[in-house]
Amino acid sequence: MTDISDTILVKDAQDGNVHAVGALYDRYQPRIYKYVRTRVYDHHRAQDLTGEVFLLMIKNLSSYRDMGVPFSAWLYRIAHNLLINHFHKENRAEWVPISHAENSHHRISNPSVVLEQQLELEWLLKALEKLDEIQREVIILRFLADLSLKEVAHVLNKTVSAVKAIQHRGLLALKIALSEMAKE
Amino acid sequence: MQDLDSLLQDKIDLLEVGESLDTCLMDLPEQEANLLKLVATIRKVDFSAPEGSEFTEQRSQVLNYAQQTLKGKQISNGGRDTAFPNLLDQVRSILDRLLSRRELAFGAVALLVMFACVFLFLATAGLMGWMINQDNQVAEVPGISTAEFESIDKQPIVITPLTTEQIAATEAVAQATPAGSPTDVAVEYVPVTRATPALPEIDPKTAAVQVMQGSAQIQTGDEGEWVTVNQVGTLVAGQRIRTGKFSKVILTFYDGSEVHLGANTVIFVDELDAQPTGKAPRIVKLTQRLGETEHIVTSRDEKGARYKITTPGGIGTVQGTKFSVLVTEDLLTRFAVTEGELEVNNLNKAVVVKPGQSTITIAGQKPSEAVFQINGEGEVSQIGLAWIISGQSFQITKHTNIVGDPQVGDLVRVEGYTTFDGKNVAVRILLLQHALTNQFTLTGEVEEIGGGLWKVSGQELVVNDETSIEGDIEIGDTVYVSGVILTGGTLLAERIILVDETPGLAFFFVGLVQEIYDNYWVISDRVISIDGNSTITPGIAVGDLVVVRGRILEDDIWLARSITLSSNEATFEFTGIVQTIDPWTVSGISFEMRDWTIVEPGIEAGDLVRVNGTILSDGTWVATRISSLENLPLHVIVFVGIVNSTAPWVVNGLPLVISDDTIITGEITVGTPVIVTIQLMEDGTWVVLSIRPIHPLFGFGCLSVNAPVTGITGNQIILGNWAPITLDDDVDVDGEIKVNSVILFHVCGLHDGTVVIIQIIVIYQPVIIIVPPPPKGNGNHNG
Repeated sequence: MTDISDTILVKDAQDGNVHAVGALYDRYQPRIYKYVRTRVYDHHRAQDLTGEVFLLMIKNLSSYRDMGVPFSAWLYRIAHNLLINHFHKENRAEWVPISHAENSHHRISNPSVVLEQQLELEWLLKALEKLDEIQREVIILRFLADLSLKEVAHVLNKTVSAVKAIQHRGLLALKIALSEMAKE
Repeated sequence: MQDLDSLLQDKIDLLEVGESLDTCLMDLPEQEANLLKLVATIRKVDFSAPEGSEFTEQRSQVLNYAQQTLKGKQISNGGRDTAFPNLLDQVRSILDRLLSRRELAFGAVALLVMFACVFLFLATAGLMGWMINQDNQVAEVPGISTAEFESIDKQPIVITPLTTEQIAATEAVAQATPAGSPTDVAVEYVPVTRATPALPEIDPKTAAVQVMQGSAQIQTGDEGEWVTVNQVGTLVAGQRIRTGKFSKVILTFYDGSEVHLGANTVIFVDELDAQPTGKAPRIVKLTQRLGETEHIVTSRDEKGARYKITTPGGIGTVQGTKFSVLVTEDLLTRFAVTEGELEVNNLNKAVVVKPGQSTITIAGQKPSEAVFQINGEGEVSQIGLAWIISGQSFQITKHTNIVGDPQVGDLVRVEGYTTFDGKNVAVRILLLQHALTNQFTLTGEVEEIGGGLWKVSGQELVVNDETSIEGDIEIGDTVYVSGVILTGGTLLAERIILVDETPGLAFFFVGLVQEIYDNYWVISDRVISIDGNSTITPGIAVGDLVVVRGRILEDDIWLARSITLSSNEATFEFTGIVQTIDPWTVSGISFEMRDWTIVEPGIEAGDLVRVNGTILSDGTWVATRISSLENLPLHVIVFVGIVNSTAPWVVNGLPLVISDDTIITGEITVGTPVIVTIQLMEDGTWVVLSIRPIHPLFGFGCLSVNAPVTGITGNQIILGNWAPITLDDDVDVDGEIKVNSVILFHVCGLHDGTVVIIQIIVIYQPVIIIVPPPPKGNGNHNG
């Protein structure tokens, strides 16, 4: 299934092929969940929001046109907007508190491996809290969600050069935040 | 910082394609090297998603929702091959997956049994067909029997339908998300530009019509109804075509000749048989009642060939040439030639017009002798009986066509000719752009709002009844102000716009309504999407001039916020991402540039910019100013002015305090037009950030002058009443200049009073033939 391009899957899905929708879900659900999870503390809420992203994807699928903007960027933008709306309603961002992170499902599958990884992740998420909203979003989309500069630019409605500059400043701020945390 | 941004990104790119970290770290400054190490560390963080089983139920919900939402599409898909097996296979796959899970299998089997019982009951009761018809998925899906489909469609046993709350929540999110995001798409928006349809097939007796801009209508016979041309059409003898405001239309004949029609132009096709070379003589006879046309006529020399255009002021006949015809409302006709020759006849007088020349005819009068054209764009520095444009004087006659009420300081296009005694006469003067000098822009925070006085970024702004205030502006809001600097430095705000954070980029323009549909309108060839939030003045119809405001969304979708009737000048403004430079395209829209277009330095593809401009009479969009919106500067005034003094610095009468940090670029002398950028301090004082020249060679403007060479002395050429031109390395000469050569030269008048010749093109070398005296008789060329 993975050798079928997004373009073909999206075209088939737009033509009503539900199986193509399933393939898109299988392909992007883990990545979208990861993205949502970096912003939403509660696993179940993150899971629900991930589902909502795909419902919105289906609802708006007919409006998507491949005009140089990858489908992945379009989908992440739906997720991004959904999170903005979610936080707007909640009136705050839901960051993953260190104290709660150990309840994450990661620890369940392979504690010995996950423990080390999770420590890094916790550290990273906590440091990201200290960044500006836009810097945090760029770092997450670029290096945790693996989006290209162009895709991030589309998700955040910014130019590539602006994202490049924000990325630079964000990394600098993140390094400072990590250094300060190391001293604490 | 910009270079380091790119340098770091280049290294990240290398890292992402598998280069070792050590290799990537080479040549990086220490700080960026540390950041790259950080990127490598982040990339190692394994943030695994939960196992797939946790999402199985959600997957089913998503697919069920897709089935409900997309089923109409499935029907329309017909038998098209897809990358996937049919719906039956797909649901079987889902079933297999679900049944493989023990915790669901039992319930699923139980529900399947229940479903089978219900199915048999309904079939027995004869209700099966009724139910199938209630669900319009059933009958038309190819390759699936009714029974199979029924079994598929009734899969709720394993696919949990969405709850009403879930769907409602989804709808709410979609509605609450600000405009511009893909989640708020309630109607299908249409990109601002649309594909141009192919030209229709034509024959020698048919011309192809292509509406390049604006609108056109065709009438058959005197009593026929005017029928609107939808982008392309055809025209035959006996028909006539007229164009609307801001319009440009091309007629193409079978032999390859073309006629370009400008705005408000009316052409009759009297005879048409545009046979190609080698067939039969080409016959094209047109009548131009009004407006402006440009003819590109393929060269033909066979006997009997005719390309003739009749006007109220005479008949023009050619064999092969490039020429233009202007017919004004008071029936002045001007024939102007670019290439070849044109013979103009009226009242038994024939005038041969050659390249660079024109002849003026008035209805009921004989055509004037051919005179040399002078055209150009520049600043008006005097109006009255004689106008001074681009530093040159032009006589005004009762037939001079002045469009747009230009005033001193404004930029205009002038078209005229030089009389035999050396005077320039203006045939037409068109306003291009109001005065650029003294204009300012300011982006800052609103501190006070008074009746006639606002304070923005510590600066007092005069606000009067003519100030356009857009948006519900309150103290504390960020606004964009444009206006003029009055004598003494008072800032008069002409326009104050709320800089909001609504997604999408703002635009407005004045345009002609061409087509009206439910979800989009075509206005001046821009496809403008409409949705439930668009406010439209009732009664607007095709052909009306309107002001359109809105926002540019992704995929070059221009969504209207409001459409109202216009009484304004034809201007436009929009913000967008630069897609290409030279030619310029921003947010899917192409526009033209001029020597006087102000472009802030450093703008490159991918940047966010604001484009201001003017719309010419033929609908062409010409940019007057392109400003960068990257890292939008706050509390900064940008204005254009003329340098009065450089020691001390005075621009437009405003004394400017220069510091060591002020960036002054280019050669600036008294009279140079400059852009001044000023940082506003909290105490209200100004700090000049930069002064740089605009249009170093433009000055008052530039003219294209056609003239014969009357003499050559050393490296100087003499052109009638013009001052001798010295040919040096700065003058680009195209062709060999001889006495009697007809040349076209571009001359620009600078603000310090000097005149610069930029280019000389030899149009043609007349062949001097000594002929015997003509025989007795009137000798006219009519026929």
